[in-house]
Amino acid sequence: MFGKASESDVTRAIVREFGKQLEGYADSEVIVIGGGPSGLMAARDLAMKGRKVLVIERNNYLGGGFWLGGYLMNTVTVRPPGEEVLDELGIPYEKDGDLYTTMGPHACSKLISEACDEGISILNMTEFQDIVLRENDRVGGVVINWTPVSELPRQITCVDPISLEADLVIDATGHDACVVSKLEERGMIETRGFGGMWVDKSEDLVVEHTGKVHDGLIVTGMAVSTTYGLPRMGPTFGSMLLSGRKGAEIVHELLD
Amino acid sequence: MNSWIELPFEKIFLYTEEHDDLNPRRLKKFLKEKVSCDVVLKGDFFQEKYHEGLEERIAETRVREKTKRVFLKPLPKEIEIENKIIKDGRNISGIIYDGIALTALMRDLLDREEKREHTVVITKRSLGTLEMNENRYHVRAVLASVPSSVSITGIVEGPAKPRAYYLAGKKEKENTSDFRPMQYSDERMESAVRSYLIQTIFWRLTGAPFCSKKGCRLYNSHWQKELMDYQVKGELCGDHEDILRCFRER
Repeated sequence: MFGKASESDVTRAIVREFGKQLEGYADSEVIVIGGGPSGLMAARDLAMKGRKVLVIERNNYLGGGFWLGGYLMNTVTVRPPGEEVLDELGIPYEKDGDLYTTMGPHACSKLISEACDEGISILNMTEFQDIVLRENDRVGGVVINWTPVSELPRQITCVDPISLEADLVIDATGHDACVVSKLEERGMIETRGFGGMWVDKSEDLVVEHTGKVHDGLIVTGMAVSTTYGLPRMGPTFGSMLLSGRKGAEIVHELLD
Repeated sequence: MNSWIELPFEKIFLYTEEHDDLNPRRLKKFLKEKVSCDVVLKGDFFQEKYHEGLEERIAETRVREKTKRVFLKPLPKEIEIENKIIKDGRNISGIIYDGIALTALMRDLLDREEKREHTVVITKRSLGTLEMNENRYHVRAVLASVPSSVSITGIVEGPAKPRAYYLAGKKEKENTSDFRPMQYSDERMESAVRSYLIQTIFWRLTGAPFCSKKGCRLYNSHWQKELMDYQVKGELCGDHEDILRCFRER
């Protein structure tokens, strides 16, 4: 039934293809840190515009919190005008009062699929560790390592990371705002930490504040909330998709 | 009541941002009739007072922590947003400014005459001040100072809605409640603004903007129901009407 292949053929194929990908993306136009809804949306839109985009995801899976709506219930809610993105991605949904609801797994897998179809590259199980800084403290890339390295005792994981260069980096790491926090550690920025939940205000504010936070660095999604001290919005995702879209537009303009 | 009381100002400078439910000319007429002094209508305060770097100064007054006054150097995006708010004249709800700091900034922008006379700024911005007893910020409908401010957002968000309103779902609110709290777009807004304008006048005249009598439009409303009963539908109580009459007949 299946074609002929030895164990060594399988191993060589994996190494060859992965090596080709890693070599090809040692420098990119855009590196997106975080493969949640805002990161994937930004990556997908940028890839659609023909940009060379690499997504770094520390988990094995992409999608972040988009698989679940909240409290482990997998219905995802979107407030208008977020349903326009659902239409565009071909995600079915239902209207519930002023909200739209959809199945998290369906929405998330569609978004991943769309982003992949547009040609993004992905390094999953890869942890962002630090930023590459250039002249005038411009962010010029990222330092990464395998996720398991940081999970194991130090004496057996003394593994140096590697660096990837990029014209622009997007911090889409959610509440942790991992990339922005590296600037903060160096005293280059002072983040405000995310505020209490206020759905009605937070989504507009997150999209409004999405954008360049430092030379070479754009922030999208809930990382925006942490950076600017905006209210959190809980399990509703319209602003994540639209923040990712806005981030992509800004990046695309900056790259031109 | 004696009629020898001097009005401590001869003119009111009234700055107003554009709002569908506010008619600046009607507000001017109202103030003229009530206080009997010149009213000079002005436009959006920060548009009229704009100078390079103003957006950064405004961004510096943003409330950063809900329990204490902390001021941080604004990030570039925050400055950019403030620039957009000034230029487009639109509001971004959810951003709260420290009322004392923003008032100090506005005072700094007033010319000598505006400082001497009575200046009021009607704004869509959300102004908060720290409530000392509770140690947290409260959004205010009115701040009586130099200049005084009347906040549209403060009128909508400041006075609390009934507890049941927060507990009820949206549909329930629409279907079961005959009480309609103030909305951002609301035909009752101008009446409420008039009351808050009068509160700033009384602060200037007597040092006391509020009245403890329920029914008086100077009542310090903490609930939307009170706002509707006293600011929207209320009139001045007899005592406060007498005080204004003294000034009018001076």
